[in-house]
Amino acid sequence: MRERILNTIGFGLLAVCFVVALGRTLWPKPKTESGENVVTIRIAHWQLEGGVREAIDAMARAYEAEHPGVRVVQIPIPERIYTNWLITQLVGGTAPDIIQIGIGISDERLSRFFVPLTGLAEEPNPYNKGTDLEGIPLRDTIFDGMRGGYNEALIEFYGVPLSGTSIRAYYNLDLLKKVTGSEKLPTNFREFIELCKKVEDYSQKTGEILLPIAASRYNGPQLMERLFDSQTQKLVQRENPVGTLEFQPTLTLRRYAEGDWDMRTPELLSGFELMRAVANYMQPGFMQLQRDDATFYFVQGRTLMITSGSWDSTSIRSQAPFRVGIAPIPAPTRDDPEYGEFILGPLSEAGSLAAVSFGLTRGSPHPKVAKDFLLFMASQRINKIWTDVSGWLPSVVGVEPHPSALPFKPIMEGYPSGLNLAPTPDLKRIWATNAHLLFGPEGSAERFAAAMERDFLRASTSDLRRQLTSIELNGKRSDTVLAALAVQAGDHPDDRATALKLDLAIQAAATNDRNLQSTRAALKASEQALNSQP
Amino acid sequence: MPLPISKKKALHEWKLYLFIIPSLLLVGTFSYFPTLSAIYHSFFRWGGGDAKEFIGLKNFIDVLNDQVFWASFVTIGILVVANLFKMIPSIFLAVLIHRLRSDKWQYWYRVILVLPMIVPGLVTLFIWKFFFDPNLGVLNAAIEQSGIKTALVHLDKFFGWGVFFEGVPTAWLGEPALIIPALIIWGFPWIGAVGVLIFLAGLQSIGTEVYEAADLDGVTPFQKFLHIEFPLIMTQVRLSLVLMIIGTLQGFGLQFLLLGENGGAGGRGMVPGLWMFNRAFIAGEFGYACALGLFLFVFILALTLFNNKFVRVEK
Amino acid sequence: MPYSRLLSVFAIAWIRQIPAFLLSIVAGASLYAAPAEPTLKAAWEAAEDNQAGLAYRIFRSLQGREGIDERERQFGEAVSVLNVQPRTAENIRQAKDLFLELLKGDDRFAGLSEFFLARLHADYTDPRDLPTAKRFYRSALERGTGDPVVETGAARLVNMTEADHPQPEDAIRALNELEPLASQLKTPQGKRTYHEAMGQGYILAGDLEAGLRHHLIAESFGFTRRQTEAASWVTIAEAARELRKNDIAAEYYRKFLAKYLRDSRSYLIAKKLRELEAANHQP
Repeated sequence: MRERILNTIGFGLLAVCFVVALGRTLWPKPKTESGENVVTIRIAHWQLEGGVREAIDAMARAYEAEHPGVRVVQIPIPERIYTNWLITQLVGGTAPDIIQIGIGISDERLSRFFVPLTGLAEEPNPYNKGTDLEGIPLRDTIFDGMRGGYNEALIEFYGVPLSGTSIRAYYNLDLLKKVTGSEKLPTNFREFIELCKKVEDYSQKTGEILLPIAASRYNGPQLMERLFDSQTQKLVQRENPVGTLEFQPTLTLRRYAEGDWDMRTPELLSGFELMRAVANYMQPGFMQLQRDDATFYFVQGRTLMITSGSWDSTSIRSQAPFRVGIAPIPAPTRDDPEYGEFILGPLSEAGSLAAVSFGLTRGSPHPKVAKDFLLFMASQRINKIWTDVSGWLPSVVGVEPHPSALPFKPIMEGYPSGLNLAPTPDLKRIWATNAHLLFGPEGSAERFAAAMERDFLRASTSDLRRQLTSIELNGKRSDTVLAALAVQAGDHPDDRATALKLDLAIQAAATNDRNLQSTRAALKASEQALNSQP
Repeated sequence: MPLPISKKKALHEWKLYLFIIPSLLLVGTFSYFPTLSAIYHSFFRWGGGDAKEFIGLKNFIDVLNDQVFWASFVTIGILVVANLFKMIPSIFLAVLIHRLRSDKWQYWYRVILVLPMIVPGLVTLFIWKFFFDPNLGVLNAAIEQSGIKTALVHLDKFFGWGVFFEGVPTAWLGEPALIIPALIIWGFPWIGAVGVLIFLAGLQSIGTEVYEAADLDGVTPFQKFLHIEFPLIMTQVRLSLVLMIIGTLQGFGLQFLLLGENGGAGGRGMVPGLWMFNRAFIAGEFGYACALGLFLFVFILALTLFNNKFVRVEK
Repeated sequence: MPYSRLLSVFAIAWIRQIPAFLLSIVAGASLYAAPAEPTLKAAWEAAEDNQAGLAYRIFRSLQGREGIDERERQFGEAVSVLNVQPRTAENIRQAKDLFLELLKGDDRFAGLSEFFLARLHADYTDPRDLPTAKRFYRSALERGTGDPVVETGAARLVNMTEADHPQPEDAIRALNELEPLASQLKTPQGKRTYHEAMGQGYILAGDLEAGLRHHLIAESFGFTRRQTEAASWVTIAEAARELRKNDIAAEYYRKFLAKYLRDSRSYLIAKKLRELEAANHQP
């Protein structure tokens, strides 16, 4: 009898839990509480680095103070699960009002679930009233013309960016003082290499286990790419007959297939040798380590230097029990006796795009308030709060970065980048799988070049094929849009907005078609070269 | 063989069938539905979104020419063979526990065995990743302190492996030649709690009269294992074998976490599941990844059938 | 990470289509239920908003409806079915039949249909049929409808030369043969994209003189897209510098620096401009 009662109670509890859970799933608690005249808007992002949550919180509280009927809720989501979370929220119709865009949002999802902000971009930001940006269209108040929030394929602005980013070298100042007796950071490659040698000597002399550079398969390539870049700047200019002075990835791959350059071209060999020279000062086997491992090495005081983005600045500073110095990556200069020959000059960061871009979801129950909060965050006054609290760079013109963000200000007096040898999935893969031949104990530039030469054409052909599919897809999608705009513009010849949109669509489609044919030409050349290989 | 029952009898307590509906729904939704989805999408050029284009058998033809995919079967073949040997310690431990005279100690050993299962698998993976760290890891410290490193360096010089050097920490996951050994070392001493419990269950079903008869015949403990225990737990061994083969062929979490999405140095840690993941989430070729998955499915099915046919259990 | 987890991602990918599917059923049902609501305008707005599936359903629902321009509806159905997912050979054939039907008329939809028939043969059919695509681009231009989208066919014909003729001398010959197309173009958009493509084609093939000439014509129509404008100005300046037309080079370097200072090329361009000015001042 007792057992039966207990069973009934257990079953009853289970049934109640099930019904409650089912109820909560089918009729979720309204995400926006409009009761008692309080409007709640939610903002989601994946920037869990130190300072960002606090900064968004500060901006939200400032907005609430000025708009008593509004409550802003922040939803930080880890980067690793952001895509899955986002898709579920968007499809389930429970997405927050404002969402950081960039990860996991394809063009089709962007157009389906997000509000185009092109109209907003052309209007002045009302929150800039009384400042020197008053009356200026929003897009021109962001340092990159809001290109960081623009989608080329959809010909629309979808995001308003809040920050700028750059990659720098972080130094352990206490260790630097201990090793060299001074806190002077290296300003060029030679000084940096001298410093690395001093760290090794110091380590041997004192028996303290110290390494010059903390690296991982995340941080290592950041430094390596910048160094390799320096050796291929002139090569890129030479291999670009179109005269745009920029790296043209597709054309460069075509030129490779046609035999204009290869892995043993002096610029590339020099780049490989430079990377190997620096890798000697990193932890052995750094390519098997991850981002957190390298940061751990650095903040534990086991290394003098680490390379990372401005986004890690606040986290590193808060974790490190020592003072941190920040300086540009010490790439070789033109007068370097060993590596100066192929260099144009320091790398320009003038063209870097604004980041931490936020978009508005179509399903927002309070689109007006959400849009208003977005404009509020992108105003000069509030972007100052952003930089001051997060320690990240601002995105709004005229906002003075917080002193801790100053070392990350973009380098304007520099030159266009060099060759990126691994911009696409399969080229990235062969770079990663052959890296041990360059960085390993028995590695060499020649061994690495030979392995890359063996794999490069197959990988680049595969990537070009994938690129072609993607460009074709964009072209096809834009066909329906072009037709719609053509008909609408024909129906309303006086509608300037439609005419402008059609004009932009035509130019974007023309660029896409040009890329399509260039990719086809490059793929054709690559396939021919591949077929003629023994 | 179960006895046949009449339709009337089968439908007598029809309400009981309602209880299997939730399970059927869950299995259908999370097991059969995705599989059907994978079959459907394998005929499309599909990037994971709404846009997809029917391309017939092209994905399957591409799989046949996919060098990385077929090369990954070499790695997985070695790992399957290694895992076969890695089952032995579990069998031995099960026998040892089974032969303990004290029921109380048997109980405690089983508890000790099950306790680590509370630790999430991911944590175990991270601990092992730390073991392999070239500079701070336990493995390098152990071979360094024990003098094994010096021996390995000498052997390296003799055989010309080019992986062990004096004064240079060994990058277990950074050298192609060491990746498979590292994956094999992983999990040492290779005692799987589930495996031991399965074998133990088998051992406990052996009647005491068999042991008594063996004792009368003067059979040694090892002969007991060889002629009594092992043949009588073959059902469990076969089950473990099937699970192990399926798990090894499908799994890629270990390789992904230790080596990254490209399978590490020289791509030596690339296994079919990881390549499928790479194509789907790195290259954005979801349709192609589905086709890879179907090939893998056929391969696993074939192996399982082979296993069922040839690994026979003598009743 | 077991295989089943990967499969569950596919499951999510599929399951997440269920609400969309249900919504589309509801949307479709509501279209039939409320005949007054769907309009050509709504359909075109959906098409412009990258919602081809929705646009297609509206266009289909308008079939036979009174007061609806049937040719416009047919054209809408054809251009939207091209992007209905999944894209199948049947969809492409449906679009092709509709376009061919529309060719029989003599209005703007005939010209646009001819252009999209070219697009269909260039990129949608498997295998691609480039000779037919080129023929349709040309015949669409010959109609002279003055539609800017139709006139971009000229630039598309030009762009094809890169893949068709990898050798520079062949490419230049092919581009020369495309010079007469200029006379068929009426709209600034058509002229601009055509001359821009010709300019790029010539410069890639090594004929800087012809390339510069076309780029300057293209630039005279003005660009609204900033990236195209920036690239065009740099190319003009670089080609002019190579050809020792220093005044043109300096002019375009200056234009670039005045508008695109936040560009990774600005410092290099400023240096080039200084060098050019110094060379001009030398006796």
